[in-house]
Amino acid sequence: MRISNHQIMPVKSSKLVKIQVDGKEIEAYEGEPILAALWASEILVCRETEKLKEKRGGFCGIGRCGDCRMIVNGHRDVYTCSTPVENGMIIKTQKET
Amino acid sequence: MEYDVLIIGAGPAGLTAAFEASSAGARTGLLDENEHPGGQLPKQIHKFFGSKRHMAGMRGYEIAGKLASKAFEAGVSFLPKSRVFNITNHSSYKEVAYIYNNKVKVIRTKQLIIATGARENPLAVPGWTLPGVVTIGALQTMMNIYQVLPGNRFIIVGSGNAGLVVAHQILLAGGQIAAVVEAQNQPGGFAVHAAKIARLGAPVLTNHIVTSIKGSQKVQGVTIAHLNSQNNTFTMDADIVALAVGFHPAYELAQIAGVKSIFNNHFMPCHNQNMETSIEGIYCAGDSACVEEASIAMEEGRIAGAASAAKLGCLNKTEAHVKIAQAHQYLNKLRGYNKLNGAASSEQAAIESKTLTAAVAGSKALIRCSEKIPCNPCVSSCPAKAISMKPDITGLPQVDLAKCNGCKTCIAACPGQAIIAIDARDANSCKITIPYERYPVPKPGETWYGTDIHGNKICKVQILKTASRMSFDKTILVTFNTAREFALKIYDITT
Repeated sequence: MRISNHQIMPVKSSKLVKIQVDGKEIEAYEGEPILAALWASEILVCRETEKLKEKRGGFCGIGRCGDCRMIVNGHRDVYTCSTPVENGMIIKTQKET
Repeated sequence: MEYDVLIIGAGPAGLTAAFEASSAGARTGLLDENEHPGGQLPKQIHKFFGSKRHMAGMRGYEIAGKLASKAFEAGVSFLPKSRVFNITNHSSYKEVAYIYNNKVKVIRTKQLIIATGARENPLAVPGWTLPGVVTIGALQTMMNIYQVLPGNRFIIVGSGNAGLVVAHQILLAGGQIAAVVEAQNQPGGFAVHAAKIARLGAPVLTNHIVTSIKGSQKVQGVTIAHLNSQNNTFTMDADIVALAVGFHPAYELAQIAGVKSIFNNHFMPCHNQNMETSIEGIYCAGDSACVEEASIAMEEGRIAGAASAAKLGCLNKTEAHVKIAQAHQYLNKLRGYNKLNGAASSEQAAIESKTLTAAVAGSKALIRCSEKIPCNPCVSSCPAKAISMKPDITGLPQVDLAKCNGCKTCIAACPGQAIIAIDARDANSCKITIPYERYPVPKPGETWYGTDIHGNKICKVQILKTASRMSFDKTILVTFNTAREFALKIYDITT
């Protein structure tokens, strides 16, 4: 969910773009972390563990834990919490191939 | 040789160290893996505790900006987006290897200061790996910098200052707090932070622990157990669980360099009074030395910056000695408080009724701050010098009601939002002024509800006026009218 009205934080000013997540188009602000755009669209699952197929999502938010890794424009293991959004990015839930 | 002093980490400790070293004349470099300086300060949207020396009363992101511009004006070169992965120690220099723009780079420095901050503790209960379980820091980053919330209903595990402050910020952002769960018998953080969320109706469940987190694809709720009674477990629905169960020093780079460490709740690097580690010329400062808070990080950074500059001969030894001794005095004050040793509730009740009596003559400040925490913006903001603190910054604030002229400056200055003003000149009603930072903002003429200390609606109030000034820094002062009997029972307002 996007925070709309806030007394302290300034209003967001960057450009709205579109990205695709598992085939579904969502709106995102250019330059924000991919994870922020996912959270704004209530998408919490980023990947599935290789052996037990358990779901994982963003955890530490600062590029340490690796639980937010997804497939971005065909590249595996992209840390979505610390990778900025670019217009037209194709993002997929990361599963064992 | 590229630098005299190189600092890794541009948070409050690193920025202060860089300023000290550079203003002494050392060629100073400051590395950080992020694009912008400030460490964790840019995501802090609340006003900070402490004293003027540490920029208390300012919001975290403003402190980040001030510290950074001071350092850059002093000539520090900033190397952003640089992730250090190795340090080697040579007899006359240290070699630091880092990645910038997917390329490995190496620089040399005579003195090295490690100010790499802290890492969050996880909490391994069943279900903690479910999507929707996040660290309090991740939530704060996404909420306060990128303005998104991952869900609507939150459970916070841990009631230290981080848990309490972020819980309050979730409420400001429009989220709900199902509960803050705390294993100890009282909130771990400052009482004023706990009071801020309590009066908005968010419960802090003390003596409780989260025993498991439920959900299949993502978080759906938690199981909570009462610690002091058997068979007392219950479930609570939530879509996000935020873990605020402490931090530990992120000092791996010091370990790589070969610095000796000690164990004191967590492993941390050994250092002397000058913040110099077991390796000559390598210093540590801030949370990477020991997890404390931002004012302490600044003082430790000052010590490390001055000590490293003195070692190089950039700073005169006597001058460095005075600087370091002074910083230690501040550190002792900042650390030497006992928040439990505060005012009893009976003393506070006496202060409140005395204030109400005095308010018959005009508006008077009422401070609801009963813990001896190191914080004094109320004292320094008062133009009438009516607020005092004895013996020093860790004393309780006291209002001289004869001197207080009801100007309300202290209300916006208090980082704990613990000051209100009462005006009882009218025989039947009272005008009360409170600090307000939420949305929506009340408008004069509207009828709202007054809420008690637990967030329950207790009476209707008439909004009289709202005031916002540059110096209030986005805090709005809301004045409303209420019946005299509710004057001391109202803690906040709601629609």
